[in-house]
Formats: sequence, structure tokens, C-alpha cells
Amino acid sequence: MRARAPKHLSASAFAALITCAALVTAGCSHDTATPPVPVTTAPSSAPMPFDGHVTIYKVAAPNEEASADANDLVPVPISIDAASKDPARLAIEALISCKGSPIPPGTKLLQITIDQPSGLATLNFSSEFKDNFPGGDTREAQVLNSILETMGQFATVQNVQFLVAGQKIGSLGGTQDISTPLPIIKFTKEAAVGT
Amino acid sequence: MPKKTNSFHKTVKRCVVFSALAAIASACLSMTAVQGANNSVTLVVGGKKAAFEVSPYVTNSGTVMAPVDYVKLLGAAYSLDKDGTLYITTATGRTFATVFQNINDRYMVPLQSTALALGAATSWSPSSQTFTLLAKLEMAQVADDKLNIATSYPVYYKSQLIDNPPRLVVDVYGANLDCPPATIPSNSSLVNDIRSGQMDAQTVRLVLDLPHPVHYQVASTLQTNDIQLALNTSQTNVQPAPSYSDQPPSTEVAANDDSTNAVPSKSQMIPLPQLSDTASTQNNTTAPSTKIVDVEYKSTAPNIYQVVVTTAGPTDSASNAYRLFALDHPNRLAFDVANSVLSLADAATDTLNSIIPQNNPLFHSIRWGMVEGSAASNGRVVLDLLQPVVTKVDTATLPDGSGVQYTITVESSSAAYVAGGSSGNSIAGKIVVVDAGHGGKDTGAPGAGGIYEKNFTLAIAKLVRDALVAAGATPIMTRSDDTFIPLSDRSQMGIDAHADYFISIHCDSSGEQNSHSGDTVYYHGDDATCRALARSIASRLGQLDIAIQSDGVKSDYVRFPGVGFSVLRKSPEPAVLCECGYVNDDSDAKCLEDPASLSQIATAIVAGLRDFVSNQ
Repeated sequence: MRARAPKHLSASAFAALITCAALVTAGCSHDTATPPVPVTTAPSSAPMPFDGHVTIYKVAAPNEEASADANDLVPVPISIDAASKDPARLAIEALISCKGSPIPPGTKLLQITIDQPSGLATLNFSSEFKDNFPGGDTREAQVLNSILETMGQFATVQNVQFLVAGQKIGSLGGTQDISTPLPIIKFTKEAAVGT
Repeated sequence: MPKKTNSFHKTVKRCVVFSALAAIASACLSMTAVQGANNSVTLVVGGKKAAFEVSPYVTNSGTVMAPVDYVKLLGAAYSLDKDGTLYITTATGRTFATVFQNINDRYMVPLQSTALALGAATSWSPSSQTFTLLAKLEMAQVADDKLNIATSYPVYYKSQLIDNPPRLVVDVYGANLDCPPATIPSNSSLVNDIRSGQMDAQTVRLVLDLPHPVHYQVASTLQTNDIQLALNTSQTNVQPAPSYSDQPPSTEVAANDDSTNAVPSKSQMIPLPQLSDTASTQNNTTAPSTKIVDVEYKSTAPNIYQVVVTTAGPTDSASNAYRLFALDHPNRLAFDVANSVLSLADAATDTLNSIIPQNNPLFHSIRWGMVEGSAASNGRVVLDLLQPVVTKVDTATLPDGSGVQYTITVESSSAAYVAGGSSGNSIAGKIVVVDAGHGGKDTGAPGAGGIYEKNFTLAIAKLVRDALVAAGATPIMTRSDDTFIPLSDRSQMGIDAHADYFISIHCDSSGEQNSHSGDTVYYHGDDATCRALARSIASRLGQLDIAIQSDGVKSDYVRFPGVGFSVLRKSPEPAVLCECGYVNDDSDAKCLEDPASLSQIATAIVAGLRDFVSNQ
């Protein structure tokens, strides 16, 4: 990939997190929809002690430093309710609603469960997740990786199963099979393999 | 004038259980047997484990039942009649009825009887609960400079040329030789003889010994029961490449029926010598007139060994009938000379009755002795084998006319040896999956003017396909039209066809319009072989004078950390994914809409593959 618009290292790259954090705190009530989710329901959890700080991964703006991978994602630390028993849900919802989110517009997180001890997180998104996906191989990777990296910060999560309206789907954009769980991504700038 | 035909192997044995099955089909089983957790059965077809939504299982009475869908793997089809009878139609158009059970809305049919009716050789391993189906090799012949191989049902195969000495090797997957390895001479000026062998439990290997290097063209479809290779003496005489069919017509398979000359009658078979232990009907009043006077052993080339058996006595072929055949438990080759006695001049070897070759990977000893049959006896030389081999026998009358020299050439049939062949570095004969990304409802990224990524990938893939055909390779298109193909099916096509390489064609799209451009060739993880292939292709792409600039190679872990692209992760053969420009870049998109540029891209991809193969 050849980036035409040069990306500058920006000390103010994390400023956008403020808008994200503001959207989070009120959005933690559970959805009333109860689509079938074929996994054991258990409370999601974060590394203990949870101090209210999580990181989401959004698409870099042209003036932001992207990660070392080919997907132009940048980590954005945000603050959520430290008393929350559902930080993973709050983090994903923050990812969905933040500026620069790669998640297809209109997508809602219908349900999130984390099975223990398997560490399988099942994220059930609304149909907009698939229907409003705009296409593009890079965009597909951005959507999946932003979620896998966001979920990767929770020690209780090892793999993520994507559901759309309660159903498994073959692929979001035609390059990655998501009919079976994908491993979480432990984000480091060195994590991605270079050439 | 048609050339003489030499052929070998068994006449076609068609199972005629149809009527019996039809008779009981009306009494379709209505049992409600429930598939148990511990009675599931692994079904192996084409040398690979077959996957089904409802696994095959063994009933309490010991019958192995399988989803009727399995017949598709054997080129057959099925249909349920309105009266509730399940019919199976073979690749050659014959139809028979079968009993079945309905398990989870899947028709489960008895595996043994239906597989036999479809022409399969079957085997069952109770310990591993594995049922294996193998196609029977019914015939191999060279006629009119064309090699024909007939199997009992459609199979996958692979061919390649090997030098020193020149040979054309054809591996038939999921097949059973069903008879001892054999060598038959050929009357074609292009082929000395055809040798057959069972390379491993699932693969038959045929070797054509060539007097001179040849070129050849695969003239049959990828999966067929009528393999055809057209041979030519020179590149300029190569026949036009067969028009590549994306959807092989079913009639092509159906046309190969018993009535065609591709399947020889028994009278066309090369007769084995009349020897004592098998020919009970022969007249054996003739006293032994041939003496085996010498057994020599030598190595002529790496991994090629010769055992030379010299006889004294009559030199006419009628008096010197011989045969070379395989025996098992333990694996060994036996060479018999009809009506012969042992009379070795070397007293020492005569006493020891054996030679122990040093550092021979193919056989650990050579023994000889007399075989006493009910009606006659003969001398026999035995090679105790260490691994599967292919063989041939050359005969020559001694210069002084005192006898005959039989030279038994033995070489490994292992893939490892073939890979080391000096001319395995051509893509001719290679099977290459060409994966046009996206398709159907999966449009890929939208480009300008309503053209989607899926349109560009298909256009490039078709050009890659054509370039591969021109180079003598066999392409497999994961799709040839605007069809949705699930990701998992794409890599599975390569696995099923024992493909050599997998090339996926995509175009990218990222960020704002005109924010990114260029092509990138992705390889999987840190796989060095795939990276070398990617670099080879990227190098060729970088030499093009087109608007899309080469951006080199990347690991697909850059795109999907830890997992990579699905089609690369799931392809066991060397695989790459080419992102050919960005559809949301004006310059790249304009290039992608230019047929000449697309042709250059496709040619570069195939040239890169050829560079990679030639450097192996």
C-alpha cells in the first residue's frame, strides 16, 4: 500500500478520545432485544482492578500516526464508568460511536457474552454491521481488527465470534472467514509483521 | 493411419448390483436410527477426508451409511423420485436405485454397495473407523501420440516431465492400481514404454519412458475418468491448446463409455508370460532350456538402480518369456524367467543366493532361487523393497547370441525424488488455482462508474488463466462468472485438486478517494516459500510500465495480525494474494479499466510464478 497523503506523527492524536468518552457513559444499558446467542452467558470482565480506562482502535485521520500494520488504526484511550461490570460492552459501543469508527454506520451491539473459562466472546451485532459494510479489503480488516484489538485488552477474552442478527455469517467483506471465532489481537506497535 | 495401440490393465469390471438394489429400493428403510456420537465414520475419497454436514456412521448391524452427497465426489448425481425411490446416476450415465435412511433431512445410503456400483474399490479399517474409496485404474495406453488413462470414476491427476532420462510422469490421485506394477512397451515413436506403480496407498503413478524429450498438452478436464495427454516432439508442433472450458461439459465425461476405444478389450492386454505358478492350463511338457547364469547389480544414476539378469540358451522371445511383478508382506519384486533353471557361474554368489547392496534406499537385498510350480518350475530373482518403486525391464540378446540379458531398472516412486528431477522447474503441467476475489452478492469495493472490485478481479483472473494455459499449466478458476463463492470453498478447490499453487486476485480500497495507490503481493505469515513466490511476482509487476506502481510484498499478518487472509491460511500449497491497485484511486482505476494494462498485470503474475518455479 502506498500512502499518498503523508501521515504526520501527531502529539495531539488522542484528542479525539474526548468525544468518544462522552458518548460512552450513558450508553451502557442493556438492549431489550434478545436474539438467540448459542453460547454460555457470563458477565464480561476486564483485568482487575479495573480503573475505568480502556482503549479503542479507530481509523487514523490523515494527520494521525497509524499503527505499524497496513490498516491505519490508531489506539484511543477513553474513560468509562469504573464501576461498570460490563467494560467490554462499553468499549465496543464507544468504538461504534466514536469519530473515525470503522464500524459500518447504524450498527448496534445487540448482545455481548464472554464464556469462561474458554475466553470466547460472542459479539452479536445488528444487521447493519453487514448490510452497511461499504466494501473494501482494507476496510474489512479495519472493522474486524478494531474489534479484535479492542477486545484484546481484556484478559478474560481469547477469541471473538462475530454474529449478525444472531446468526453466524461467512465473511464481512470477502477476505476473512468469520464463521468461526478469530483470536483477539494484543495490540503493540511491533505486533504487526513487516516485510 | 492410426498407430498401433499398446495398453495394459484390466478390462472394465462394472458392478451389476443395480437390479438387486432396485428391487429393494421400494422397501425404503424407514428406520429412525439416530446417529450416535461414537459410531461416526471417516470417509476418504480422492486421497482426502470428505466432510459432510451429517457424518457417515456405522449401524448396529455393521453397515456403514453415508450422506448420498458423497456420490458427487465420484462424479455421480442423485435424485429422489416422486414415489420416494432414491436414484444415483453415475458419471457415465447409468442409473441405479438405492435404499436409504433419512437422518436430519439427509439421505443416508449404504456406502459399500453404492460405492461398488459406482466403480470404486473400497476398504474399511475398523480400528480407525475409516472407509476408503479408490478409483480403479482401468486402462492406460498410448495411441496416436496421445496418452489415455481411464479410471472407474472421475479423479484428479497431475503430470510432469522429468529429465535424465526423459520421462513423463502422471500421478492419479485417490486411485488403486488393482494389479501388480507392470511395464508394457509402446509402439508410439514418442514413447518407449509405460510403467505403472502404486506410489502410495492413495496414488497411482504412471511413467512414460521417452526416447527423446517431448512437449505435451493436457487435453482433458481437471477431474475426469478419461485423462488425456497429447504428446508432441517439438514446441513448434504443439497442438493448439484445448479451448479451456470453465464449466467442463458433463457430456465429456459421459462420452467415455465402454464402447469407445479408450477402454481396451481383454485381447488388447499385454499377456504375461506363461509361468508355472499361475498358468495351470499351459502345456508344460517342455524341459527347462534356459539357464540363469548371472545376476548383477549396479547404480546408474542417483536413485536409479539396475539388476541385470543374464541367461544362457535360446534367444527367441517365445523361449524367454519373463514377468516382473510385486508381492507384499514383505514388499518385494519378483522376476521370473519362464522354463529356466539357476546355473550361476559364481560359486560364491550361488551359495549365498543373495546380494546385499550398500546404501541402496530402494531395496535391501537381491535374492534368487527356484520356484516350484505344480506343473513346472522356473528361476526367480527377488528384490526386497524398502519403499515403493517404479520399474521397467529391457531385454537384449547377448552379442555372441548365447543368451539374453534382462536389465531391470528400479527407481523410487516417491514425490521427493520427482521433486528433485532436473526439469521439475517448469509450470507446464502444474495445477494453479486462480482465485478471482469476491463475486455475486459480495461485490468487493465499489469503484467509479458502478464497476465493483469483483469485476476487476474476474477480468484479471481470466487473463491469468489464459496465460497459464498458454504456458502449459492447468488453471482452476474458483469462479469464472459473477458468482458468490464462500471463502472456505475457494481454498478447498485447491486442496481437492492437489493444486501446486494458489493465486488470489483482489483490488484494494482504502480511506479517502485517491489516498492510496499501488499493488501489493501478500504471502501468509512468515512462510518463506510463499514470500519467495510473492517477491517473484512483485518483481515482475514492478517491471511493468503501467500507472499502478508496485508496492512490493507484505505478510498477510500485516492485514490480519496472527491469522492472515483466509484463502492463504487455508491453502496448503504455496499461495499469494495480489492486491492489484486501488479502485478508489483515480489513476489506478483508470489503469484497471484498460484491457492492455490488465493483460500486462496478468502476464506479469504468471511470469513471476514461472520465475519462482524455475528457481526451485
